[in-house]
Amino acid sequence: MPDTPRTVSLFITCLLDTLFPDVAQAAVDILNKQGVHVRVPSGQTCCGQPGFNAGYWDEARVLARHTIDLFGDSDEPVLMASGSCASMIAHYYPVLFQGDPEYGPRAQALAGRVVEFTQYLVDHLGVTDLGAHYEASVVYHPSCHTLRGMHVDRQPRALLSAVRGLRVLEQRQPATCCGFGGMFAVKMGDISGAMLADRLDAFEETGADMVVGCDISCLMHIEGGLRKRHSRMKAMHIAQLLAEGLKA
Amino acid sequence: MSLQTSQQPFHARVSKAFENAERVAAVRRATVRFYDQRLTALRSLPDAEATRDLARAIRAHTIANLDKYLTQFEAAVQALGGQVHWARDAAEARQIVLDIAQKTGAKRIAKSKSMISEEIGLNKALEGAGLEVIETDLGEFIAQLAGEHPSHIIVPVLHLTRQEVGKVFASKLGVPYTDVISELNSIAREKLREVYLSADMGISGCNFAVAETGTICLATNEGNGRMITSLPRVHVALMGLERIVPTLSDLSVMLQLLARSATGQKLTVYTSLITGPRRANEPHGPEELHIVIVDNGRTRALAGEMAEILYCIRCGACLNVCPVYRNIGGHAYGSVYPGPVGSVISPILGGIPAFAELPHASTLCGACQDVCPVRIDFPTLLLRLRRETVRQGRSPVWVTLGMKAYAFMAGSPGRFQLAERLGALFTRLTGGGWFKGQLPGPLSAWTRYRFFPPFNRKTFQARWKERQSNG
Amino acid sequence: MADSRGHILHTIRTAVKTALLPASSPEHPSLAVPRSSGGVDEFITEVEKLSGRVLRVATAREAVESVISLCQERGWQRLFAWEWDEIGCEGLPEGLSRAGIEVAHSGSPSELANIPAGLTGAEAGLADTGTIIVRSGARRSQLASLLPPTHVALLPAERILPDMRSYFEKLDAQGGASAHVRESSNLVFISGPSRTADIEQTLTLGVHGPRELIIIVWG
Repeated sequence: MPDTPRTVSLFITCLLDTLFPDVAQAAVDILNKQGVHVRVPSGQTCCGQPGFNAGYWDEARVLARHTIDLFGDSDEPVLMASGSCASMIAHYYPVLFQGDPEYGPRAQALAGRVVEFTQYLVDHLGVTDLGAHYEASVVYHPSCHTLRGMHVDRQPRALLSAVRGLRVLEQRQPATCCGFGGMFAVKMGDISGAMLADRLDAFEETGADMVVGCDISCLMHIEGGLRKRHSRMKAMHIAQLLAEGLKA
Repeated sequence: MSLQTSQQPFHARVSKAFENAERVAAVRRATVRFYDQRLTALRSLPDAEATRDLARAIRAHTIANLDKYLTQFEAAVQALGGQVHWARDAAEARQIVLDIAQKTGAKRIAKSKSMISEEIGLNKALEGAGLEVIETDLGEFIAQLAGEHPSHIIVPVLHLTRQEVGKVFASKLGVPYTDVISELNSIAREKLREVYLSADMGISGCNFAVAETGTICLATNEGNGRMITSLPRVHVALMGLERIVPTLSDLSVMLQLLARSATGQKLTVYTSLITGPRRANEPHGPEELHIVIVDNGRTRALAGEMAEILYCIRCGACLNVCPVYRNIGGHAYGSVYPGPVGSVISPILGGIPAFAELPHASTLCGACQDVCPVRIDFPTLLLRLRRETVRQGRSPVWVTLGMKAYAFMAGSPGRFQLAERLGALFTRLTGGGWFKGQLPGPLSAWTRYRFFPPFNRKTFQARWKERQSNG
Repeated sequence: MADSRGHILHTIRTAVKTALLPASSPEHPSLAVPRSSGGVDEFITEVEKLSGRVLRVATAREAVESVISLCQERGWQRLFAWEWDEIGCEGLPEGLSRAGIEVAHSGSPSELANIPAGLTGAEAGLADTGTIIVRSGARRSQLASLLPPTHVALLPAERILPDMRSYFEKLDAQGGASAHVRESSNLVFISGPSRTADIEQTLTLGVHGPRELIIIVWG
């Protein structure tokens, strides 16, 4: 562990804030246990991705400006337990504010500070074995924005493989989109449903107890589908699984 | 046929696609197989990633210097007695080909696969002028007989079973029904051989035009491409103005990636370099070579933030990997160009009104960018097009209202917390826990396939604030 | 139409000024990419993977014997061939004549369409893709490797190169790849017999082009 205590700012993300606060708390607890101090700037709302992805860039910019203002202009890493929101800030805030004399450089700066949760643990803290224990068989779903947006894949797999009692199984065509895609899930509902069905079938074919991932938007859509088909499989965010594993 | 292949609205086309489970399964089988074969083929390159980087750099440099390379190409072709024509749009391109047919007295025209010929609606125009047009690429031949549009840019009838092909041959060619694939291929071979030997004109596309030599490069497997560019006395090659590379060395780089990305072959069986018409002392080959350089909206892409789509080499890898394409197949896109590349190029060439949904028919998963031999950033291009569809008022009303509401409620911390409390109220009123019922209106699309998650009693931020003030 | 040409070129020149072109550079790119280094063995392996057939012999004489054996095995009484000096295999015309095999070097396509086998040389082979290169010329009809159902190609082993790029580089060293390519209206890289998988992605050989490719690698 470093001499000076580390501090990160947490960008909760709107989905974790409203629907899955336990997951955000789990992430904070894990970081605290690693000696990391977590600040949570107050007044967070949403990174603006839903609007941006739907083509409403002006609306997205309002939310993005608020986010940029909130996180200030420092070097402190901005930690996000969500590959898609992290990707939004890291890749698309600069696009949103291209040519903007004030927010352009600030967007670029914030984009450079964003770190995904597992990426922070493994690459910044150098930790893969948290000492967790969890008896289950899991299949890891690599969310598209986590995998291709943030280039994070090795890190969550390393963390999972270090959990005692955990068996990680592989599904067919693993790096395939679950079909969430934000508004796509509703606007293109039948296509989304078909893509989801394919993934759920793939997960269930492995016989695993659980689907684990790093992106709550995918997991919410996957769990919604598992419940609808009365599957015995559960879905969990990796932060939750690790936090549960540390309680043992 | 022209760029737009259907008059039905997008959602109707998608529904229709889902109705045919066999067809969906056929598309899935084919695309998964091509995807796997591509991976194997790339591994056989000494360094696939470095090759892709170089290929991207070649395309980028070429598009940035397009006028220079096109004029160099033109001069090289003309110096060997070939003729170069320029077409601003589809109508002009069709007229040019009609004029050549008329001048040369061509009556029977044999075609090899050419996406751009479909884009400009060439066949219909030629037939309308009383000319006989026969597609010779097996997939296109079948599609032509069946009266269907191709559904994939490399494998035109990937959506048909052999039984369906057998029925088409039996009814249209008057042969006894068979669904044995080798027999179906033999039937096609026999029918088309007679066509090759009697056609007056061959029309091909162009995979790559080489500026330094004035060469048209055609990558084919069946031999029909060679037949129609060797036997008829006139050869017409159509090319989009972006289908050009500077040198033979550049061509060799692109050819390392084209077939591997498309079908997993290292090279197609025949890679033909056609440079000028038959020489005076050559015994065989066309007497006349005409190359038609077509714009038809490509310069519109070139002028702005969509220019990167012109890097595309039409390999089809993006179609093979796209989970949306895999589920809905090519016809649902309603365009000659389906899949990720189609979702970008169709609204550009054909206008947003005709193709407004296509940029939204994607989760932006990025698999396309992952497999693209020239690393086109599809997600960003699709996002820009989505912004345009909104600007042009092509967004459904409920989406706009929803977006405005969302922007409003998430626009301030206070309203955001209020939205959460309203959500928590909904969750309480519906029994707590995951909502099993149907949400109203367009939101029912969610609950058709999923339960809806519960809003928490308190947001994380609310709990955090309490915790800070307590501890 | 002259004004279309001018219009398009003008539009391109204007468009490029506002084009967003990632990865573009004013200089013609020349990033170094690692190269293949295969030879005869790899060539043979690759050809066979494509369902082509290779007969490996040590001398021109054995090559001639192979051609005659093939004709006798298959009952070929007539061949359609390039002119002998273009094939460049000593003793070939004499050997075929002795064996009573007729050879046509020219003719109309309909006449040539019924000949069972085409016989050509090859100006190079590419090891990484199992490819032979045939180039049209006054005495090298492009139909010989296309119309007959079987194509037999005589390829000197020393002409096998690692890959396509090295082929163009070799030509450059010899006076210019561009000039070489521009000599002929038709240069084809042939990798195996013709094929299609258009129906249910099921491979069938021999659609329109030859259904059999036999390469005699000699020397």
